[in-house]
Amino acid sequence: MILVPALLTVMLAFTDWDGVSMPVWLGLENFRDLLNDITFWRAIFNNVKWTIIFLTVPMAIALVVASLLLTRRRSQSVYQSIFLLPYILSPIANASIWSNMIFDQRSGVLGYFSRHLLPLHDPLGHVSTALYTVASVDIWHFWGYLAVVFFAAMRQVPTEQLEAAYLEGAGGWQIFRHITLPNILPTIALMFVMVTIFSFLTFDYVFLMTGGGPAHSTELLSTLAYGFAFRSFEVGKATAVALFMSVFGLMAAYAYVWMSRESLQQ
Amino acid sequence: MATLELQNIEKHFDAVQVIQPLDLSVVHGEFVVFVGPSGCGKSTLLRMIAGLESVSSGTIRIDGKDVTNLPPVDRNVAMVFQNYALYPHMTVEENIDFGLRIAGMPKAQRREKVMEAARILKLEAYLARKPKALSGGQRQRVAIGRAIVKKPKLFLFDEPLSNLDAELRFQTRLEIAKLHQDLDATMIFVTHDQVEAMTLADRIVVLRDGRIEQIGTPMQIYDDPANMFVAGFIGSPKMNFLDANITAVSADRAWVKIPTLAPGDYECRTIRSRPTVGTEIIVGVRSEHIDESGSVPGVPAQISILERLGSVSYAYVETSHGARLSIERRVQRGDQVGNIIHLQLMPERIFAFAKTGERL
Amino acid sequence: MIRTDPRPALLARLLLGLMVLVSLAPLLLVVINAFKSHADIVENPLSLPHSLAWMNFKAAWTGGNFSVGVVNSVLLTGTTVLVTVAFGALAAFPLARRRIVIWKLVTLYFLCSVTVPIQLFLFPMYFLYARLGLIGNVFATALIIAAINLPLSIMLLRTYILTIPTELDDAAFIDGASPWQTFRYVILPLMKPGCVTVAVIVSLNTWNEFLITSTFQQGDAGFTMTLGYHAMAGAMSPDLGIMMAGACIVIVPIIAFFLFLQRLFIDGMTAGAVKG
Repeated sequence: MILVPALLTVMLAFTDWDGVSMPVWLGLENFRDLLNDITFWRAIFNNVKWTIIFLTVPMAIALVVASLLLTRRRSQSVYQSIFLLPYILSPIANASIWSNMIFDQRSGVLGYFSRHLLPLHDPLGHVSTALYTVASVDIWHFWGYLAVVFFAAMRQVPTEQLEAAYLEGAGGWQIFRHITLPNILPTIALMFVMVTIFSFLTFDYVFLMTGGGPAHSTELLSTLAYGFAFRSFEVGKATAVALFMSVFGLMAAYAYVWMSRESLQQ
Repeated sequence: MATLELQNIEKHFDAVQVIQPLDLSVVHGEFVVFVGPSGCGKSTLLRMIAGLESVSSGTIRIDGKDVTNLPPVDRNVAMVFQNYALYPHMTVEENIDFGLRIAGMPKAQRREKVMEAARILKLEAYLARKPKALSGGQRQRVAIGRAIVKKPKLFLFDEPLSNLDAELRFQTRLEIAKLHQDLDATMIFVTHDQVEAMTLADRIVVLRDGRIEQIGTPMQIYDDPANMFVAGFIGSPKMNFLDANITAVSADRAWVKIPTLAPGDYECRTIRSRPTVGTEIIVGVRSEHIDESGSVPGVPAQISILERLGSVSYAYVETSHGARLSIERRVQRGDQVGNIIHLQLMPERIFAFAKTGERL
Repeated sequence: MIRTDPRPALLARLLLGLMVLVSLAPLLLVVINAFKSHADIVENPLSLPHSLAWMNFKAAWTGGNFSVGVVNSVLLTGTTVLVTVAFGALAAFPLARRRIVIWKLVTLYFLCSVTVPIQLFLFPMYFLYARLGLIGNVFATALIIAAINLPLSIMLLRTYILTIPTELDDAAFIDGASPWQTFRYVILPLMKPGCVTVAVIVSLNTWNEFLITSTFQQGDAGFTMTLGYHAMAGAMSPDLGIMMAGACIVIVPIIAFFLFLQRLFIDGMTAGAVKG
C-alpha cells in the first residue's frame, strides 16, 4: 500500500532515462569521432576553465560577503534579498540585459564609454575575452546564492564555540579561521561539488550570449551537444558528449558521497 | 476487562536479543508497572503488547483471544506516550475523536463519547484549543482522554511522567492512581523511576537486559528482593553492599563476618537456603535499617558527608576498617561532619547475596 | 554578541555597498532605459529618462506576445508545482519512514539523475512527444519539468517529514489508521510548510526555465513569457528601449513574487545545503 505511490513517482522520474535506450548507437564510432574533433577538446578545456573560475571567484566573494553579513544584524535580510535578485531572474532576462544593454558596442554602456572615454573592444566578440566575459555574467548571477547559503551555514555555528574562543582572546580573523571555517566545511564541500556538477552542465548563459562563439572560444560541452542534436542532427554524437558531461559530474558526486558517507547513515 | 497473558515471549533485532523468553500474567483491574534501567526492554515489551512491535516468538493473549499477529486496533488497547503524541494540527476534541472517526463511528455518537471522556478528565473548557495552547499537564490529560474514549481492554502507559516537572509529576501520579480506581481498568505502566513504580503498582515487574528479574507487590520487592540487582534498584538511597563471608549456618539463619565493619559476626535471619560455610558473599542492608546502637556496643563510623532534607537526613559514613555506608537518620540529632556514631544492623534486615547476585 | 572594532567595520560597509551596487546596477539600467527611446539610449545609456513614457512597454507587450505568455507561464508553473508537490510528498513519506537501505539506493539514483545533463534525453523525448502530438502542450511539458525537479523536492520533503516525530505515526496506528489515512490526516497537514517551500523553489525554476521550454513549447501559441521575450529579443534588437521594457515585464513578476515570499525562498534554498 505504501509502495504504490512511491513506485509511481519513481516511474515518473524514470522518464528522465527514457531517452538512453533510444538514441542511435554506432558502436564506438561516435566516441572516436569526438576524440578526433578539436572542437570537442576545446569544449572540455573551456569547461575545465569554467569550473576552475567558478570554484574560486564566486566562492571567495561569497565567503567574504557572508562573513561580513554576520556583523550587520539588522540589515541582514535586506542585503540577502538584494544579493539574491540576480539569481532569481531568468537567464534570458539577465543575458539580454548584459549582452544588449551593457556590452553592446552601439547602444550599450560599454559602447558609450568607448565613444566618450576610452575605446574598449567588445568583450563578447573577442576570442581571448569571450569566455571570461560570459563567466563574469554568470558569476554575477550566481554568487548571491552561494552567499546566502554560506551565510545560513555560518549562522549555525554554535555561539558557545565562538564565545569560548573570544574568551580565550582570539581575534576576528582567528575565530573565522579556527572556528567558523571548520564548522561550515561540510557546506563548503557540498557547494564545491554542486558548482562542479553545474559547471559541466552549464548552458543557458553561454548559449544566449555567444552561442559558443566566437570561433568556439566559448564552446562548452553543453552547447556542443546541443549543436549536434539540433543543428546537425547527429543525435548519437550529442548523446556521447552528454555522457562525458555526466562522467565529470558523477566523479564529483562520487567524491561528495564518499566524503559525507557518515552523514548519510541517518 | 481483560486478563493479559504473555507466553514465552521473546524479541530479537537481527542478531541482538532484546527480550529473553518470558512469561507474564496480568489479572483484570490490575495496575502493573514495568520498571528497570534504560535499555532493559521495558518499552519494547510494552510496544509488543500494544502491537507496535512484532513478536519474534511466543503468544500474547488478551481476554483469552490470541492477538499476537493482530494490529493494535484489533487488540482493543490504548496507549499514552511519553511525549503525549498529540496531533499538533488538531484541536483537543479532534485529537480525542480521531480513533473513533477512523473506526467509522457516526458523528453524533462520537461527540457523546468525547464529551464523556472530557468530563472525566475535566477537559471541557479546552476542547477547542490546539495542543500548543495547553500546559504539560493538560496535554497529558488529553492523551489520557484519547485513550479512555476507546474503552479499551488494556491501558498502556509509556513513561508518561518523565517529561513533567517534579510538582506536576506528583499531581499527575495521583490523578492516574485515581483514574485507575474510578475506571476499574487494567493498566500497564512503564517507568525507570522506582518511586513511581512503588507508589502506583499493584504488582511490579523488574526488568534488566530483557529479562524479568522479579515480579511481586511493591512490599514483596522491597522486603524480599530476588537478587542483588532488584535489591539495589528499589529503595533510595541505594542499598549498602559489603563484602563478607559465611562463618556459620543453621536451620533458619546464618552468621556472617563483614571484615570492613567490625571483627564480630553478624546474624542474618533472611536466609532462604543453606550456603556452605566459608563462602564469599555480598551482604546488603538498607540505609534505613542501620540504627544507632543503644546498649550494645556498635561499630564506630565517622560522618564524612551529611545531607539534611528536613524531616530526614542522610549520613555518609566511613568505618575504621574501610566500609562506606549511607545511613538514614530520622530523629533530629546533633549530627555534624566529623562526628563518630556507633552503628548496629538489624538481623532480620540483612540480606545475603552470592557474588554472582542471587539471593541466598 | 562579539563586538567588532570600528575600522574593519567601515571597510565591511564599503565592500557590502560595492556588492549591492554591482548587484543592482544592471537592473537599474534596465528600468531607466525602458522609458527611453532607442535614440536616447544610444546617445547616453546612463542618463535618466525625460519622462515616464509607457510606449515602450506597450510595444513590448504585444511584440513579445506576453498576453499569451503570461497564461502559458502560469499554467506551466502551476501544473509543475502541483505535480511535483503531490508526487514528491507521496514518495517522501515512505522514504522517510522506512529502513535506511532503500534510501541509500534512492539517493544514489537521485544523485545520478542530477548530474546527468538534460541533453541526454532531450532529443529522444522530443521525438516521442512529437509522435504523441504533445509538442506545445503546456501540461505535457510540465510533466518533464516536474520530473527534473522531483529528486530535489523529494529530498527536501523527506528531510521535512523526518522532523515529524514517529510517535504520531504510532498513535495514529493505535487509533486504527491505515498508512494512507496516517499520511492524509496526520503527516500531510504537518508537512504544509515543507510543501510551500518546495512549491516556491519549483515555481522559480519553472518560470525561468529555458532549455526545456524552448524545445517543447514551439509555436507562438505555446510560448511562455521567457520564450516570448527571447523571440522578441531576436526580432527587435534594433530597438533597445522596447527590449528593456520587455525585460522589465519579464522581471517584475518574479521580483514581486520573491520579495513577497523572501523568507520561504531563502529557507528552501538553504535547507538542503546546510547541515543542521
